[in-house]
Amino acid sequence: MTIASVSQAVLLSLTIAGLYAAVAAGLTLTVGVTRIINFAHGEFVMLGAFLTYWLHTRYALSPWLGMAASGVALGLFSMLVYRVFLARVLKQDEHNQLLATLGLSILLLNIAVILWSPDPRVMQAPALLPSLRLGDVSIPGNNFAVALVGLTLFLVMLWIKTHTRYGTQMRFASDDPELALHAGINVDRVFELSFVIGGAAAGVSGGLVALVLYVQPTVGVDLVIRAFAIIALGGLGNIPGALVGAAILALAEGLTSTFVPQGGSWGFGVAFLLLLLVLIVRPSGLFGKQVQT
Amino acid sequence: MNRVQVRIEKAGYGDLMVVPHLEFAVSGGELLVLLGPNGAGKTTSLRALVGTVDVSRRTLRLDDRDLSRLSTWQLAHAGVAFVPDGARCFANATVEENLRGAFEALRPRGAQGERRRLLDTVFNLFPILHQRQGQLAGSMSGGQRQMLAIARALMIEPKLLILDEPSAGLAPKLVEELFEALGRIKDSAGCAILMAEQNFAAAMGIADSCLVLDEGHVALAGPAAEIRHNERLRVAYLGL
Ligand SMILES: Nc1ncnc2c1ncn2[C@@H]1O[C@H](COP(=O)(O)OP(=O)(O)OP(=O)(O)O)[C@@H](O)[C@H]1O
Ligand SMILES: [Mg+2]
Repeated sequence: MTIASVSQAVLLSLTIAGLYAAVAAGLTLTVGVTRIINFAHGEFVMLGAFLTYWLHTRYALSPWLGMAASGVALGLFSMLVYRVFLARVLKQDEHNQLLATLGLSILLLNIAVILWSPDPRVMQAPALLPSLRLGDVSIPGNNFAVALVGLTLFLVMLWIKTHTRYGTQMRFASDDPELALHAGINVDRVFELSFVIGGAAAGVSGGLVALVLYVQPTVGVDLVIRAFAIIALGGLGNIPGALVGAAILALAEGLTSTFVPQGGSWGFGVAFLLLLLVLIVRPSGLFGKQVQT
Repeated sequence: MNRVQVRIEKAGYGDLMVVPHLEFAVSGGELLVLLGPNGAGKTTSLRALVGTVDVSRRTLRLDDRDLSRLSTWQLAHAGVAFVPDGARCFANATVEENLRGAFEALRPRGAQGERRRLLDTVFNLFPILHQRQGQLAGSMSGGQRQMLAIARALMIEPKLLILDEPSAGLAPKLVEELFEALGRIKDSAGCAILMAEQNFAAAMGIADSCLVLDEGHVALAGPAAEIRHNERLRVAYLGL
């Protein structure tokens, strides 16, 4: 174990943290505002990955544009899902909401398997950015791009929530939906908007997936579980917390798989272990408020 | 003018009908107080009016505008502000964000001057809010949150201000301050005020007219000056 190999593992993990953060930031925005536990967020990511992949392999569209297109497409798709499906389910109790999004997740996953087969695919894209060299350590260009886009996406979510008037309305609507109505806020629209923004973020994250992971129907399943672990780490609705949570998770996974013998098969177990630990020790998350009122 | 006319038929919860019929009017610069013991149906009536309790029929007219068909959030845009009971604020936002957010929910971008003016007005009424601008609303005392709740409602410059038991849980000194502020709002802003209260003495000090509910029915209604000295009312409905 040399310094170079450790720094290499740390840096690579941090680029994967960018992907995790992107997936989790969209999810925590949606869940934090609407309280819909959206299991289908992972499948939105998967659809974005396939879209970016197909646009590149069929039409030679640059993954940069593919990401943007996926963001728009999944944003629109989320709007459709919200209007015809979730808006109705939202008025029912929480268990029904859980079942509804879980059902949607499984449905999308199965449709993807039927349409595209379960086989993993690799997007043969030229590196989007030159690789980054720091002494002995080098970060492949696409990993660098993933970290960059992930971080940007994440900052955009944060900015929307803290610096726009829609962000204020989102926070009001999640704090006290009824009071928000009395304040003249169209809470239904605000919920829809936050769901659409979360969906668009999932689409862009899908583009990132296509850059560094296998494109396959089940790719969203792992990611959404990780995203929930990250949200648990960071505290629900806490966007900066999600960034730190993503870094912790990616580092824990990356270091285990690099330095623990046969650690590669441990990667996912580490996520669950962290999730369980947080739920036991600090249920409101590392940065969540301790007292929920 | 801000003349408000209200009619509510059969307000309640599912099969439980609480208020069969209620009708009243209140004008700009006037305060109508809704009195009655616990469970009389005050909250139910107010909520039926703003659309968060089921009614079979609701008529709401503001001057010659018919607001009967507007939903809860649309009513705010039409100038009807509601302050629910329990001093509710957006707990995870600061005092300043609560006030600014309420203003921005209704106004177009860039109305800075107007926002400043309204902020000055509410800070003038409740100076403590000025000192606590950066504090999270959830970490303020009950009395401070009640002031914030009212200030938030005033940020939309309401034509009709509806308050549900604003004095509940406040120390007598604060009640006095609060009602004095309401009196000033009424006189200066020219809005009509409808307020449910249990604090008979304090409410009657600023009320212009009065409506007493008992088990969902109107037991007594009339100008405050008459009701104030009505022995029957005191004994029968208010236990004073
Ligand atoms: N959410 C609800 N579901 C069912 N019944 C309710 C509900 N809220 C109130 N009630 C019933 O409606 C009746 C009137 O209640 P309401 O809250 O309107 O009284 P109130 O005059 O506001 O009393 P208070 O002074 O205690 O606030 C009561 O009998 C109460 O039990
Ligand atoms: Mg009440």
